[in-house]
Amino acid sequence: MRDPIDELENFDPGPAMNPMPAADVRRRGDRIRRRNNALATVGGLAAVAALAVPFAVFAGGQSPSSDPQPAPAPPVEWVQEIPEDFPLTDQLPASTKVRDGYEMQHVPVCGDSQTWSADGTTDARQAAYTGETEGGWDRTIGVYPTDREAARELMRVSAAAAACAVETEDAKQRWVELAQSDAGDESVAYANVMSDAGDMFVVRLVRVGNAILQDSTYAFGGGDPRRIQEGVDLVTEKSAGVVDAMCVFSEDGCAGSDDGETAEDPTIGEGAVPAIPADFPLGEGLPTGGEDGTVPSPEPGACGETVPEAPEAVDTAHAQWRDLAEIRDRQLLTFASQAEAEAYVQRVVGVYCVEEGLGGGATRVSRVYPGQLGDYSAAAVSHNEVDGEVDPGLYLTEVVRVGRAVLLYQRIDEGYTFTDDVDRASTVLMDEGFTELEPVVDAMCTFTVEGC
Amino acid sequence: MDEREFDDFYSASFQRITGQIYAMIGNRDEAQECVQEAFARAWAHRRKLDKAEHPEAWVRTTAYRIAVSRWRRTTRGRRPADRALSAPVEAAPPTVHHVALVEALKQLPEAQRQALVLHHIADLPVHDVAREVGVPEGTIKARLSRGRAALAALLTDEEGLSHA
Repeated sequence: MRDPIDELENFDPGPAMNPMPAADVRRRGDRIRRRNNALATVGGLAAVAALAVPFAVFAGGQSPSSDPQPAPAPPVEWVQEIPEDFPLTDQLPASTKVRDGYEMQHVPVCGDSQTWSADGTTDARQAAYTGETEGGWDRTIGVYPTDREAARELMRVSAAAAACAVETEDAKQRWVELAQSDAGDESVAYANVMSDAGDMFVVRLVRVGNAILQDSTYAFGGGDPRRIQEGVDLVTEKSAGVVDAMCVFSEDGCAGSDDGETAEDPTIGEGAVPAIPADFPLGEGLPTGGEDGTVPSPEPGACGETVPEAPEAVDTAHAQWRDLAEIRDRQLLTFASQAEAEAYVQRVVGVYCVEEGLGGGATRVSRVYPGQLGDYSAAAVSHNEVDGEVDPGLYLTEVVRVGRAVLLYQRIDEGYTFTDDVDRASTVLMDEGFTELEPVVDAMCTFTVEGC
Repeated sequence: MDEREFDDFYSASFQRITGQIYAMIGNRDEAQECVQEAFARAWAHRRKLDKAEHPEAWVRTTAYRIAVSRWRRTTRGRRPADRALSAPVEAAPPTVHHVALVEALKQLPEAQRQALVLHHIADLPVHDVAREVGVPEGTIKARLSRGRAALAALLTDEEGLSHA
């Protein structure tokens, strides 16, 4: 029997290759850089920032810019003061000092306007620790009159950090690097890198309801994305208990933070609906005719990232229509809880970046838009460009969450042609998709606690 | 990283990384295109590359992600394989064993194949493989163990068929 290890360790990739000259590779890299910078300028820094930050900025059933609910809900009484026993110093050393109000402890690269300040809060409290041999820690919570003010402030900080990251990309001293964060209702994380030596302030903000929690800590490793992410992960771990306690600032308070749903209580709708009903109208609204049979569902992905399957899904259903140039694919997934459904949704939208090089002068350009359906919805529309010329074809991914169910819709239309500019065509396609999905989303009420 | 440093880095590591990506995806021309694109991105983000502890790992990871993304788009029936960045190479016919190993690797689950290539072909210790892939060391050890067993079975099957 052949030894697989021996085979691998003596793997011969074949004769010498004929790679592109290094100068041509650098020219391609310069084009990528110029295109990224142009997107930041032409598209508007705010627009790029909105795409560059984790899409969690738009998470939650109510974004600051969303229209009012069709049926007016009773006004929410938001907590305006931080409880005396709020565990702000959880997992911080005993010598941590606590004070009312807020005083910035880290250094913002792009000035004070780049960072969070506690302006506009009804109450703020700060816990600060200064280590003797290692970096200190600063943690502050600020409460706003309502969740809208808090969300607006977090969006402002997110956009400012992303804009600063673009602005300082070529800087040799002091720049900002963004990192991934997924906590609370929405969150943002970044590093203020102070010098080539790699010293940095890792900053993470989390919003729950009408409160924002900011953690910042001094660390090393600036310039290495892995080290920055490790810093953010450490912050996430050390402040997990504090974020949990922020349920007091959520719309339902801490008692209602799980929406009454637990893994032990799978009852949803009228009676127990553990599986997707056989007569669920998943295919309603799809065109008729087309080719026979189905092909495997596309897997959402872009920018070198793909979203894996959802092994935690309780049940799945699939409907598809296709012809020679177009596929419309719908997947319905149910989860044991709303939190798991929401986490999957964020994984799907989180893979999209503004631009992805495909080689040979071709680029995939993506735009992400918030939607208006269900408890949460979003759309990503992508198109290809070759040497700056827009190719026909649009690729649409839409995701809608209702209760503990997620509807994932993908429309791949290779022949989609448009005479308008591509941005307008993208929004038209997005609207078409959401309109097509409306009857399915209406039927998803069966996956909510209230039922249909 | 200035132009000369980048060119030296590119010359020194291009063939090696392409061989590793080829082992991961089973297509030599595609591997070459993905590695070239990864180097182009490396130049576009050279300040980050300067700070990275392992720039070769950065390029390899980027190239692999590009390859996976392009493969998925191709199998979905989207645009055909993207234009080559350089002229295709007229390669000498591979040996029977070489073909068998590449074909066997392609039949493994992606995660096992990646772990085997990084550990046995790229010669990274388990700890470094875990860091590059972004999973715990125990997960890498399990993938290596299962991957080696599966590869051995596939190579044995192929040997039996060729001797039939």
